[in-house]
Amino acid sequence: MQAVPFPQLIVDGAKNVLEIKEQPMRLISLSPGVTELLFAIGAGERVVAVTTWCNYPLEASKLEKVGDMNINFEVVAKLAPDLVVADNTLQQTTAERLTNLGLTVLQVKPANIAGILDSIELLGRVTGCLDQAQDLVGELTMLLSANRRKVENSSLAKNPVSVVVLFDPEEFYSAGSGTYIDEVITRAGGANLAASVPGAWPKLSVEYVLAKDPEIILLTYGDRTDLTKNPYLRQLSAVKAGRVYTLDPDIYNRPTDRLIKGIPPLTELFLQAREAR
Amino acid sequence: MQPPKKNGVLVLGLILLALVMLLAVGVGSVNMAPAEIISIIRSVVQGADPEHLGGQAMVLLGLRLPRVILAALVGAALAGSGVAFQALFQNPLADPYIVGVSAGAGLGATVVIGFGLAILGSQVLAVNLSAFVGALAISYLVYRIAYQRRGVSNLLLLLAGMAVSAFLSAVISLVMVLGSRNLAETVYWLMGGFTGRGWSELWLAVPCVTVGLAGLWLLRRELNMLLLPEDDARSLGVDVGRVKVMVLGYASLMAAAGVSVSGLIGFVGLVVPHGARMVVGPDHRYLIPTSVIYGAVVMVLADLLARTAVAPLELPVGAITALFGAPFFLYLLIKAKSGRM
Repeated sequence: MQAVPFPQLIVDGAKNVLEIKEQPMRLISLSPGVTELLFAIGAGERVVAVTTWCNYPLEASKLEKVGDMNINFEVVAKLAPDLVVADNTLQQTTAERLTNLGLTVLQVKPANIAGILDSIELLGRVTGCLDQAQDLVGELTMLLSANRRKVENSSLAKNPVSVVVLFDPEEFYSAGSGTYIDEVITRAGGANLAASVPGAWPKLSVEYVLAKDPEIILLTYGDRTDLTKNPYLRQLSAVKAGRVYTLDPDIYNRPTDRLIKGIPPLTELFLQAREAR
Repeated sequence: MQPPKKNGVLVLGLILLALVMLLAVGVGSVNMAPAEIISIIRSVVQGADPEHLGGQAMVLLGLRLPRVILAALVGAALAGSGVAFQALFQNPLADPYIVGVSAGAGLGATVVIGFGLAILGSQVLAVNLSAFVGALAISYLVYRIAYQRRGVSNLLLLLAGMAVSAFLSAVISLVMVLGSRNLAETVYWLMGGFTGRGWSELWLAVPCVTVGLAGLWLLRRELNMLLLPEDDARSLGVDVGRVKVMVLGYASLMAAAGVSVSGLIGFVGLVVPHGARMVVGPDHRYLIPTSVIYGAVVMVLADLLARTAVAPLELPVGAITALFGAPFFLYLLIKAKSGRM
């Protein structure tokens, strides 16, 4: 293991300066994505509690729960963690109250692909798992550049597949520009239809989707039959041609290494759709 | 009821409050026996650094103790404020939120949370202060609208309070949609509760509630006069206009402090004074302390229930108080009705 000197003075994703006095042995994760990253870099054994949403890897789901978006401060305090790790979705008041209790709160900022890689490296540094973290970052960087070459050498480079991501088949909440999902679609060789709609998580209108008639519809909840129930959506070419795919929300709605590894399969999907036409 | 019996009700309330607070400090995600609580407190008094006493001490000193004290203070503040507003309006249906305090606080908190603002790098401070200032500003606005040359008109106060509250609710909805990044957090704030709250709220609550309660206590005789028709009160030498303004000020101060540190918690300020009046009668020398003490008891119990009923999740205290408060209020109404018949 690469020797990481402690104490460390680091600046986290929320631009807070933290002093990590010694290698933290008791970690609490406040987000499912962070939980996955901690396990991915080999710090999983030191995680003592997670949120009710943390279901991956399996070991994580068996740990003590500290609540969901609203955490139970008493449970956190009782466990006396050396380090509480969260991401940029943590409520600011929650971070403050935890800090006021004398706890060290580290916030990573996996807002995009680069942010995920930075988060992995930062988590590796503060947990003393820098070697494994850097190995993972290297692996993911290679995977990304291999996929980029693949996209560049395909028809997707000049003519990306038009894609709409719908978190559900009824309300039509989607991922706008600047979100990690938008970046994943773009890197996979797609053109995200919601990117031109203002807002990070816009609610698309049925009219908009009908007018744009995307080549591919990606759902993270529900499936094609939900869309065929609607007499208008039935007319969409993606629905007619069966190019509606349900993605695993645990992979595509969490900014983790699994999300990055989920890019090449999307490229495959896009290429298949292109060839089928 | 005879004065000795009324004093008995007060003493019983104090004993209940002590027991309930002790229970609330001991029970939760970690249960602590009284001996453990005393030993932790003793070691801190003897100079031990609380941060090195482990998880139990952090739960007790950082969370449980300040939270229980805060709940008791807010319960006392809302009940005391309710007594004052009910005397002011000569109407037992008045509650601490009647002059727009809750809407003002709600707007203040919503703006800070929705747009992610902070004061001195602290969002907790910003939320508390903004809610407090919003509550006071709105109750002052309502008071100005209701102020006439002859004094404050109760009817105008009531109507202006309703209209301003309705308008602010609309603004709150808009801010919530526009600042949608923190929608869930805003919703939880509005539902009311003591999750994670403690020392950073007490500095605001303690002075305001102390001043408010002391002010009302000093006006206890004048409050009794307010129950008379205004002309009778004047003939007894009471400056009704001045008393009303002072009562309004103290009551709003307490309601503002309560709501700004705990969100919107209904029914305590309505039901507790109402129930207390049925037991000790309308004399404010007894009604104020009885309401205040039992208000604290009720709030500590409600918060205890909120954090233990479905632990480790926490329920909004406002839901608990409404769940038990509304039926209890109906019971009081029916009892009063049958008593009269």
